[in-house]
This record gives sequence, C-alpha cells and structure tokens, in this order.
Amino acid sequence: MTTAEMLTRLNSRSNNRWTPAQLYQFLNSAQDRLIIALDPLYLTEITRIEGVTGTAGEYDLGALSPEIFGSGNVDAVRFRTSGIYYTFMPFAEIKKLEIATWAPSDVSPYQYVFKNVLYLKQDATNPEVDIFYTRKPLEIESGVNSELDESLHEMIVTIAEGIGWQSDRNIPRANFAFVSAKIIIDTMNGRA
Amino acid sequence: MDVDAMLLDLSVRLEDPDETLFDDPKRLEALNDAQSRLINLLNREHLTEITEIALTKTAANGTYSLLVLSDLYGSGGSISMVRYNSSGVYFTPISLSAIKKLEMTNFAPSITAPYFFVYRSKIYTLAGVTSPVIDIFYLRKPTGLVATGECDLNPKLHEILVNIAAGISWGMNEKLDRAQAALDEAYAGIKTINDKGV
Repeated sequence: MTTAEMLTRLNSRSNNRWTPAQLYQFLNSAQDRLIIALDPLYLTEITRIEGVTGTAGEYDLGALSPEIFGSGNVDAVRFRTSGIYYTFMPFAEIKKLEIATWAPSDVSPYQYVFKNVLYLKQDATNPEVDIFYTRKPLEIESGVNSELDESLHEMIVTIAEGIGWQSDRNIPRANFAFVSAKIIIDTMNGRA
Repeated sequence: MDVDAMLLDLSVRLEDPDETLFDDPKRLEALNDAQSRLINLLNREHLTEITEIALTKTAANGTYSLLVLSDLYGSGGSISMVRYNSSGVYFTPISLSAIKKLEMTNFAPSITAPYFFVYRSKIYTLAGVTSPVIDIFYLRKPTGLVATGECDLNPKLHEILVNIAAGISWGMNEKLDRAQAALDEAYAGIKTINDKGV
C-alpha cells in the first residue's frame, strides 16, 4: 500500500475528518507502535547487523549507525572472533553472574543493556562484536512509503485510525481500532 | 466467489443494496483490507493457493537475500521452509533468541541437521557447508481484489473475508456493535480453521 493509499483509507474511515499533516503524524506513530509490538521476524526490512568494538566491556548504543530504534531493540550480540552468541541477562538478574558457575568468559559471554549502553561481560576487555538490532524506520511522508512489509500496512492504517480517534476523544472508536490490530499482532507473534 | 459476487454480498450484509452508503471503491478497500487481515491471521497451511517454491537458489556464504523474491509477502514470517536441493533434507527454523543453543554439541548444525533463521532481509543458513543450494518455500503477495476479478484465496475462506470486510465497513459507519459482531464471527471462524489444522 502506498502512502497515498494509506491516506485514502484513513479518509474513508474517518469521513475526511483529519488534515494530511495529522494523518502523517498518526501513520508514523502507528508504525512506531507496530514495530515495538511485533516480533523481529516480521521486521526483517529494518533489522541490521553492525560490527563494533566494545571499550572496557561497554558500547554506547547511541553510536550505532543507522540509529537503533530504542535500546530495547538489541536482538542478539555475537563475539566476532569465535562466532559465539552472548547470553542475554536481564539487568534484574545480573547478580547471578557473581556465582562461580555463571562467571562470564569468552566462551560463555553475557550481555545486558542499561542506560542505552550495551555491557559485554567476558574475558576480553575490548571485544569485537556483531550487534543484531532493529533500526529506526524512515518516516512515512508524501512520496515515501512505509519500509515495512506490505502485509503490515493495513495494520499501520488501523492503528493510525485508533490514534486519530483517541486524539478526538472518541474512545469507543479508538478502542475498536486498537483491539482489531492487537488481535492480529498477538496471532502473528504467537506464530513467530 | 468472484469479486463481483463479494461486492454484492457485502452490500446486502451492510443493508445497502442500492450502494448509496458504501460504493464500489469503498467496499473494494474494505475487501482488500480484509484480505490482508485474513492472511495475517490464518495458519500457513490454509493459504496454499498463495504459496510458492523458489528452487535451486545458492545461499552464497550461507546467506540468501529475500529482496530477490520480489513477490514475497509477509517479511521473514512468510518463509515457511528451506530445503537442501540435493538431499531433500529440510532446515529447522530457529529464532534469534534461541540461536545460542546451536553452540551445544547435540544441536550443532550439519549437512544432515541444518538450521536457518531470517534477519536483515536475508535467510541465514547454518548447514555445515559454505554456500548451500536451497529450495525456499514462501508466501507470495495475493492479487489485489478488483471488480470483475477473482480472489486468490481458497473459496472456503471467502465467507470469512466478506465478514471481516463487513466489520471494517460497519466500523467506518460508526456502527461499532455491528462491526464487532461481524469481526467476532469472522475471528471465531478463523480460530476454528486454525485449531483443526488441515
């Protein structure tokens, strides 16, 4: 679906209620919400693998180019020297790494993210790693279509419609749109 | 059911036989949106009419770009299977979150126990060989629904498709109770089909 077709859809669903500027704002917010909600399997068009070097076991995710879409969107980290993947450790469980059997090493490395910094726990001080992540999408605007797969475009329109109704305080219509999208997102994530 | 019949059926369900509230373009929009929702909701085995096989594709250095498959629909989620062309052995799909288990000896990828994952618009093969020749099973784009055209999907799905379109249309008309009723019925039908398998 092209951007023009998305606008036509939103105008049909709202009886031309919103301005083009509002529609673009709704569509971009909807695209962001969809990316946050969907499994990366469906977002392969905006996923990246970038090789970087950690310094003293840390890497500032703000330095990634293209820009990461939120620090929570690190999908995997790989030690380039050996090809071994880092085990993701939720920050709340970081104390486990103090137990001898969990001690990080180059053959059993761990990673976690805090304050937009990727922490690399292993023997090597300055490890070379590949970061698998979801990048920020291009904004939808006149003449620029959504980069996401065509199968997701109807969902972008439906979420955008929900955002539009929400901004108009028409909560029943907003909820109807959001629930319609959520049913599909949940089904797709369950299949991933 | 051809698309003209769907358009007519939809008019009747929307209690708009004269097509004054919902003209052909609006109903076609609703039908196409419904087709997109239906494909996203259904398990792949019920979409066999829009599945394809790309044969003898070389995954150079273990990767194959999905951008080459111009009719692919559904991003990484549409790759239903990968097969070694020469031996017929199927690759096991693995998610990135589970990929670390392949470092265990019991799960080590090999030519007889290969794995694949999809990332960055590429299929990554883990197959014990550098550049395997593979067959790719995937979902293709459905033909857009146009008046006088045909729907690609299995006829048993057409009733559900029209029901979803009715739900979308009632929603446009702010008849949310009717919209919800139509969508609930459609989603219940989809759940039944998904639950019973093939």
